[in-house]
Amino acid sequence: MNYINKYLKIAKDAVIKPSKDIDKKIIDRISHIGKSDEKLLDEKFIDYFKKSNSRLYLTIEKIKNNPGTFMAAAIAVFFIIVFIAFMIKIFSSEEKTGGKNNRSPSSKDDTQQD
Amino acid sequence: MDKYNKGSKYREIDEKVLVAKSKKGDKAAFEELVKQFSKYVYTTAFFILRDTYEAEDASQEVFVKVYLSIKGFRGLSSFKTWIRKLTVNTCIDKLRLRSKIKDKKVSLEKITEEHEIVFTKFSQSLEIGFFNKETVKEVLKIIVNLDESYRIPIILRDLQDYSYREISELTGKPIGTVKTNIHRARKMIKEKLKMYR
Repeated sequence: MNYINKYLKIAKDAVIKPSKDIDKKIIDRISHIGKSDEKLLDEKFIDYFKKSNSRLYLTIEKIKNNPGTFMAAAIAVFFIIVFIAFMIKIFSSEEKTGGKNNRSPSSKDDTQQD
Repeated sequence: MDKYNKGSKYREIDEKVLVAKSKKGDKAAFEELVKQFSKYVYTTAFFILRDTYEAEDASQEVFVKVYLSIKGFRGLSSFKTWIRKLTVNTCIDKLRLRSKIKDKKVSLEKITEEHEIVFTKFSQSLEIGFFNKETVKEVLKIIVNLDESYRIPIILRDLQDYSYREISELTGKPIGTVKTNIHRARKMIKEKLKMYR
């Protein structure tokens, strides 16, 4: 099936050459837009238009379309936060115990010298 | 960055400038956008509708919609993505209307030798030779000739990058059915391509 995917990927960049004057026809149509054309902006279009202009909607769509990627990213972020919290805890406890450990041998040395 | 990526980057900048100018009411800039995207819109419309006149009509409709609403376009997605989804929505609506009115007894066009297929990015790549081009043309011919229940999902998935969920919402079919139909369509393409070879 792999080679089919390869051809389909290439096919994305393929276009059918329309009749020579399609650009002209479209430009001509735009030049003569009347009130009746505004009917084209129906409810469905307005709905699509609002959605395509909403950052929140687009983000939710992205998450819905790639739930696996989103979950992986969320799990990764969670573990990074846990790891950072763990490291902070270790360092802070080391600082406390480290201070005590540093003091006791020096006090021993002091008694030996005496 | 290679030549190809540079080209698409420049096109993207060009596109943003043209959209910005069009939003300010610059008609010449909008006409340039029409020239840049008309082939793309027409092709998508033809693949879905399989009728030259309807595809032309749909293309005009899409650009009228864009012209009337471009001032409110915020540019959160690229212009190409925006116009692509608008084209697909417009064509799917037309397809639904047609199936209601004409009772599916329409003589649908196939891609023939008259339909010249060109590759937008293709010509820049020397790796892709004549054989590949011809095979891609053949693949497109097979897709256009597929039944609607297979054609629409595979076009949306493989040519338009829609997710299974989006296709399911658009066609009103369960995700499982969409996945099955796409898988079957790919299988059909593979089998028909073997015959062609």
